[in-house]
Amino acid sequence: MTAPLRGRAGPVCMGLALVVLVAVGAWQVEVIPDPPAFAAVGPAVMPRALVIVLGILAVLYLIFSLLGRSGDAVDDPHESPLPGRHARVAWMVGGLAALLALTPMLGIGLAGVVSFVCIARAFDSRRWARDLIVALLFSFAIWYLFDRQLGVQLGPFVPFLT
Amino acid sequence: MDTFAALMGGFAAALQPEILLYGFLGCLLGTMVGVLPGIGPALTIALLLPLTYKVPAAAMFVMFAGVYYGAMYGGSTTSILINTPGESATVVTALEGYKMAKKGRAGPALATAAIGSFVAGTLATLALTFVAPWVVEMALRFGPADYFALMVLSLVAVSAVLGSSVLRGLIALSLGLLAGMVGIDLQTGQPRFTFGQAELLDGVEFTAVAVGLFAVGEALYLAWQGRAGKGEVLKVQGRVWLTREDWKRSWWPWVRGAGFGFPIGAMPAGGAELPTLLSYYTEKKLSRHKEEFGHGAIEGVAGPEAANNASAAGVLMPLLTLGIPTSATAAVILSAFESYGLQPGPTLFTSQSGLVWTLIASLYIGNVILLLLNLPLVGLWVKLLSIPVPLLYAGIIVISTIGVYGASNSLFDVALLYVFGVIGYAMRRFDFPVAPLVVGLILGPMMEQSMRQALTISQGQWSTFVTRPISATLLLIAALLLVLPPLWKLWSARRQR
Repeated sequence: MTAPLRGRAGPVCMGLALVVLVAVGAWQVEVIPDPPAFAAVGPAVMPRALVIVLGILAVLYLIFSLLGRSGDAVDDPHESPLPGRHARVAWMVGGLAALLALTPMLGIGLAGVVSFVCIARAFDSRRWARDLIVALLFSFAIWYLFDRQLGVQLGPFVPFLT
Repeated sequence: MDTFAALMGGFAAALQPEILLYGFLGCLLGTMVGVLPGIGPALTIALLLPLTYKVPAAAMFVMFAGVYYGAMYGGSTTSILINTPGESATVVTALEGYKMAKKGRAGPALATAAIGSFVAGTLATLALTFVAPWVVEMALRFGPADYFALMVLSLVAVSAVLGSSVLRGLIALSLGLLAGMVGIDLQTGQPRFTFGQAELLDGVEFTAVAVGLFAVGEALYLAWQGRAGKGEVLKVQGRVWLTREDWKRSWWPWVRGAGFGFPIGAMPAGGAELPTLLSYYTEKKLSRHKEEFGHGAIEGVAGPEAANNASAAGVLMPLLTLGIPTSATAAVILSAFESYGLQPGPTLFTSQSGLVWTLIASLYIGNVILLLLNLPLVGLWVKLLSIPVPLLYAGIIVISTIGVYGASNSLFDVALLYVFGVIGYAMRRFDFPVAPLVVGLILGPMMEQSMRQALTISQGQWSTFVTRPISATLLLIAALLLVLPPLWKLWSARRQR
């Protein structure tokens, strides 16, 4: 028996993504420069073999997905998402994007504070004030531990004050 | 006698205050991450990798061993008290442990898990101490072709035997191997899969991949799912200790659990899931209280927990003696060895004998520290479970990002972290195992190097892999591992019709 169409969409997308990845891999294998004369085995041998193997596996996965035989957590009653998944994922992705975008301006410490609050919201927290205070304390503590105690260079916590 | 003397030397070094402190910190951190859902030893060690530039190798590896063992001890707490196994290895513990806790026997369940972990961990470390030198002697006879075959066997075993689908396991493995090919080819100096990006010339940053898959991927999945933190934390009532009857019923399951855990953990496809399951079903069969199974039988906690911890020492054996990681955590530890310019394998026992024996000695000491940390401080560990889920996962993401950023000061690596986070989410959602990808990433370049060395020695003759007895045997086993399970499935299905 095949899975309902809704259940197939996710695995089919995953299969297609794998096929696209194989195509990109194949293109990159073709642009690997020719091996120098001294090399017994060229630099493209292993990558080419891997791309071929992955290609076969990806196509097999796609076929299984189209037949409804690949699993998706959406169909599992214990794993399926609760209502509001799009909003939660949006907050999560927003938090990650904020960290990437704000780090050059605010430094990783303060950007981490913004990200922390957004990610807490992605886990259904509505206590903005508590999250903000915890985020500030936590981000500073981690920055202090890494930068000041362990000597890992992170830049200043508040760049525009230095 | 040589082994004994080397071990004593290891104890002398491991008992130095600085090393001991790192060991203690590792155990503390390990227990904490074991208790907290969503963080495992692989992620924690990956986050600590930037410190390899600052901390001496011996201290760092002692700390990593503490984290690894500590997580095994701590993992049982979540299984017993909230029925949420932190790792697949503690799924079996939850079966009986949670039932015991529901019946008001959380204390004895936690105690048998902790004491069993100590007993089995110590027995397994003894086995590691005396078996490892023997494996090293054998491994010194391996040539590049044999090593290549051994790596193929390990990769096939990790991908095809573990997990629910051979196809998905092999896809994850191929992705990991391909990611391992990114960067300058060391033999010819040609760039591969770099897309013209200078940041990729040194290859994909291992920390970004491991942390992305384990931390960001898991957090994305849990946010998408929206079910995290909905479980109830059961209270620990009474003393965290065992009655005379509990001791009597736990003792043999501990020893048998160690007997399953160490050898299976040391095998390429062993892992911790199989020995815990075997231990559970063996105890169920041997128990005089079969009727209690499924309702909170102490043997069902004692055996699997012992097997789980013994397998951790087992996993360290192929890593230290052959340089082969058989789990995601072992792959991260291997990456740490590479950060120090060290190559685990048989020569490590001669070139870095002091380091290896300090590490092994620290496992004995770690077991004692963990027993002392776990039983009296169980109240503290339980309190960790009350950290609100939004703060926990926000904290995990921020610390992961800062850790990866700190390793290279590169936002490119942070972006890579998030890309692998998305991949980790997809893998979790569509049931792809993560371990083959991580192991493939770290083992891929080594496997390619061995293959090319073997072909250079044989002047390009590919038959070298099947004409050498060791390599031919290993490749045959790998092929059987790939072919037999699907054939067995097919045969069983036909028989049932």
